[in-house]
Order: sequence, then C-alpha cells, then structure tokens
Amino acid sequence: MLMQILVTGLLQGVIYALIGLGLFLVFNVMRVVNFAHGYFVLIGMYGLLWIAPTSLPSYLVAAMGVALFAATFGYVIERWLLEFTLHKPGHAQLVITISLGIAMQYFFQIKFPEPYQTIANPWPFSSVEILGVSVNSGRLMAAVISLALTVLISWVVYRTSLGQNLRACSQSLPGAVHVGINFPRVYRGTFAFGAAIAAIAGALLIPFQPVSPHFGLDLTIKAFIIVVIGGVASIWGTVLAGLILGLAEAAGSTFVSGSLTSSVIYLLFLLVILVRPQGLIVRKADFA
Amino acid sequence: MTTLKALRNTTPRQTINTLIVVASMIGAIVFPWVVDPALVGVGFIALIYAMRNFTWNIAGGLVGLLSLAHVAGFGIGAFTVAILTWGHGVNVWLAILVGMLLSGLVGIVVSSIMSRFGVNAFFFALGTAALSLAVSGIAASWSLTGEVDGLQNHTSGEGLLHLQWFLDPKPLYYVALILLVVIVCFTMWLTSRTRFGRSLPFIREDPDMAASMGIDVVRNQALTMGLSMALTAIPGSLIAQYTSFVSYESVLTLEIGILMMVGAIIGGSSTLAGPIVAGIGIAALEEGLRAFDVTSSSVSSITQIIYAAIVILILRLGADGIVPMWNALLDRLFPSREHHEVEPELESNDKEPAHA
Repeated sequence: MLMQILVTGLLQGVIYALIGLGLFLVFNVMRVVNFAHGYFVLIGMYGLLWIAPTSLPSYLVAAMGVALFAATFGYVIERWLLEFTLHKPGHAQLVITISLGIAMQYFFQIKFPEPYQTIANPWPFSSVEILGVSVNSGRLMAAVISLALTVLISWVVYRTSLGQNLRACSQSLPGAVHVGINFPRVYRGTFAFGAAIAAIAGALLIPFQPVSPHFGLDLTIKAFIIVVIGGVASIWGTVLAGLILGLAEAAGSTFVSGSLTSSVIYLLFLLVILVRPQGLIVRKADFA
Repeated sequence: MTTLKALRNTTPRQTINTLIVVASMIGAIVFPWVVDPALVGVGFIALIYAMRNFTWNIAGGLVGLLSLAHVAGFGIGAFTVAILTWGHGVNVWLAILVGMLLSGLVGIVVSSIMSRFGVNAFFFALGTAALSLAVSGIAASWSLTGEVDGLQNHTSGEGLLHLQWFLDPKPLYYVALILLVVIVCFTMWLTSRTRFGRSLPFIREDPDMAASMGIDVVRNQALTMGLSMALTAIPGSLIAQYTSFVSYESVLTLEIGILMMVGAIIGGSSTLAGPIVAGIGIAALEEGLRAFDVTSSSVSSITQIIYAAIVILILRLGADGIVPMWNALLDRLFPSREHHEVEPELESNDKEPAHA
C-alpha cells in the first residue's frame, strides 16, 4: 500500500508541479494573482475532448494546438483585461480573474453538459508495473512529459537570455526598465506561456482524468497551494510542493474519503497562509 | 449625518432616488398580488440574492474585506436550520439565531486571525476561499450534514412560528422582504449614527490613519466581519426553509461566495443600494432567460456568464457599479445649484422586486 501511495502520489505530483509552475511564473514575474489559472487547465482538457483524437500523432498535434490556443487566449486576456490593473492599487485584478474563471466554468458547463468524460487512451500500451504497482499508461506518460517540460522550463528560465529578462522583471522592475527590457512584452509573454503550460497539463490529464467544469476552481486553489508552499525562492520549491501535494492527496484518499482529504489540505493551506505568507508576497530570496 | 444633511438641502438626485425607493417599496409590497403565483417564488429568490449580496457588502464594501468565507456563513445558516429544526424539532427562529451566532463567530475568528497575522487582501481572499472549501468538504463527508445526499425537511408544522407554508409562497416572501428592510435600516443606522459604523469607511480607505486617530482597526474589522457573516446566515436559513432541502452542493459551493462578491461589485459596493439592485437584477435576468425556452440548467449558467462579463466590463471601464453610474447620470442630467464637494453615497435603498 505504501508503494501504491508513493507511485500514484509522485506521478500526480509531477503534473501538479507543472500546473503550479505556470502560476508561479505569472505570479513571480508579474505579481498577478491569477484566479483563472485552473481554468486554463480546463481549456486543455475540454479542447482535447472536443477534438477527440484517436491516434497518438493526432493526440500530440491536438495538445500542441490547445497549447497554442491557450497562449493566444492568455495573451489577449493579459493585453485587454489585466494590463491596466498592473501596478495599481485595488482589487480589480483579483475580481477580474475570478470572474473570468467563473465565466469559463459555465461556458464549459453549457458546451459540454455531460459530466466526467475522458478521451480514448492515445498511448500504444495500456498499463505497466512500477515497483509492483500497476500504473495506467496515460498517467505514466503524463508524468514523464510533465517532468521533461519542467526541466525544459527551468532550463529556459535559468539558462537563456529570455529567462534572464523574466528574472530581471521579477527581481526589480525599475532595474529591468533601466537596462532596456521591454517589460510589457515580457509580461504578455509570461502570461501566455503560463496559460500554455496549464493547457498542456490539461491535455496530459484528460486521457485518464474525467473532466468536470468545477475542476477549474479546485485546480486554481491547488496551484495556489503549490505556489504558496513552494515559496518564491526558486522553481524547485514549486516542483517540490507539487510532489508534496500529490503525495498528501494519495495518502489521504487511501485512508479517508476524498472530500475530507481535500478539507484537511485546504485547512493546512490556510495555516500556511497565516504562518508563512511571505512565501508569496515578501520575497526573502530572489528568484534567481 | 448624511441623512440630516439630505433633509436640509435636497438635490434633484436625492429627490429622484427617494421617489424610486418609495415606488419600489410599494412595488415590492403589492408584487405578490399582481403577478402570476409562480412569479412570487422568483420574487423570493430575488430577495434572497439581494439579501446575501447586501450582507456580503457590509464586510466587503464598507470595510473592504474581500471575503470568500461568506458562503460558509450562508451554508451554516442553512445547515443549522436543517439539523436543529428538521432533525431535532427545535423552533426554526431559534435555529436561525443559532446559525447567526455560529456564523458570526466564524467571521470574528477568521478576521481576528487574519489581522493577527497581518494578511494582505489577496491572502485574505485566498485564505477565506480555502476555509469555505474546507467547510464544504467537511459538510460533504459528515453524517450530521447528510454527507453528499444532503438533508430533507419532513416537518409538518405550518405558519409563522414554523416559518413554513406548503402551498402559498407569499408569507415567506413577506418574511424575506421584512427581514431585508430590517437589515438595510439597521445598516443605515449603524453607518450613519454610530461611531463604530462611521469608522468603517475610514478603515477601508486608510487603516493606518484610522488607527492613528484612535480607532481600534482590528476589533472593528472583526466585529464587522462577524456582523456581516451573521446576517449572511439569514438568507441561508430562508432558502433552506423555501426549498426544504439542503446539501453541500446547494448551499456550500464557492461559486455562491464568488457570486455574492461579484453581485455587490456590479451594483456598486460603495453604496447600500447597489448590491440589492444587482441581486434583483440577476433574478430578473434568470427569469427573463427562462422565457426564451432555455433549459433550466443552462439558464443559471448563462446568467453566471453574463454576470461575470458585466463585472469584468465594469472594472475594465473603471466604473464603480450600476448605482454610482446611475447617480452620476442623474447629477449630469440635473445639475444642482449648490456644488457639493462631498458625495454622500448613502441615500437610496432600492428594493424593487423582479419586474419580470
């Protein structure tokens, strides 16, 4: 049973880490608290449900397609709805992203009234044994691809000039402006990128995770849990927090009912907010 | 203070708004007798929406606490009635009081803890959202609250004492109307006549300045949050009595909490009338969409989307909400002779029912 918890928890945790990473970048670079992030994951899930790919190549192309769509969507949202709220006091940004999420949730509700659908497994094998635990191929491949993407993203952030611009805006916006970084462009790019990552995570989830519109809110809160627990110091904190969340969920759901597990996780999260809010807002270590 | 000033020199805007309030009050009273009986239920729902937006706004608009914990208060109100009255035969009014106390206590504790740790607005929203989700999860897995199946009302008492009428929704409609008026008048009295109430907008605008003027910011915030959540339990209890069924899905979803917030902001959270206008507006919108032969599940989905779109639009345009926009329009149409530098935003408490 321990193995069961460990394997499913880690596999789920890697995907959570990928979802959290998108929010982490948006939050850290732009200081935008994006309550619609979980709904960007739904774009990936429902996008694939709508395309309904039947073979592996078509699945991969479809995943790229939804990522591209989500990036465009994110770009437009940032440009038209969020840019004017940046560096302004007030709660406009929070209310706008929450409302956007709610609008998307009910849009999916109308468009896909049948709840809990999945797509046919696109991977050419059905399940494998890992450490004596049988794992669904969709879950395994989702975790593998998520891990690869996480490594790729951290490489981009820490090793390329693009990532350097990103980190510059995060560390000091006046400094970034001073050295000639076009920060509105960096912001738009970051937001679009975050949305695309979320949509890819959704595309990876849909073969084994039945989708329902209210997932968006759950995933948003989970992404926040990951970012808050992970802190702002580095990407790896976020990844670690994702794994912890996955393990905690797997462990909890083997002992008590699913909704009680999430209750406990939410209460713990509340505790983290109270005791260590600087994990998100005040930056102890620089994102470097 | 505002009311005194309003009496002394009335601007055209105040005259018009007073007329609207009086007209809509009369409209609300005769409403159940002039419309189709089926629409009385719609009117009741409209009052519930108005009431919960309004009670949210006491914390959200007056003090600026962007809370998503209010849905927990709404759910506590509903579940207290379900557990005590339906399950144990306690009088329903007593159960409502217990629900208010519990919910108010949650509000005070949440706000005190949040202030104690100096949480900022985003974390306040996030933390209260987490709390609501946790409460919802507990309700979904606790046998006392009926787990996922919820609780059903099997009591047979009828009349005002039992707050239950089987065939005629009119009495419950009037109970909701009276409670709404009482809550609004109480809030008006609080914000205009008491030192506590007058300190609230001050705290919202500048907590540090308020503290330096000798206002106990932490205590007043906590009391407001408690009061606001206690009053939010009332519409929860009423809706439980109306539907005779309570489950975590019907009264304890975070979406309801978000709708309260969005509703108050659409109407204009700096005004008293705004949340009420928005609440009645969405009920009217829902009913209007039903006329277009849309399936009932899509109706609520479409209204939520419209609601979200309106709030995004209002914020995007930098406007304050429907009622402040209306006031600005009146001021432009009827410029008053004396120039008022202060904008008293307490004049109207619009209570018209769904004019579907």
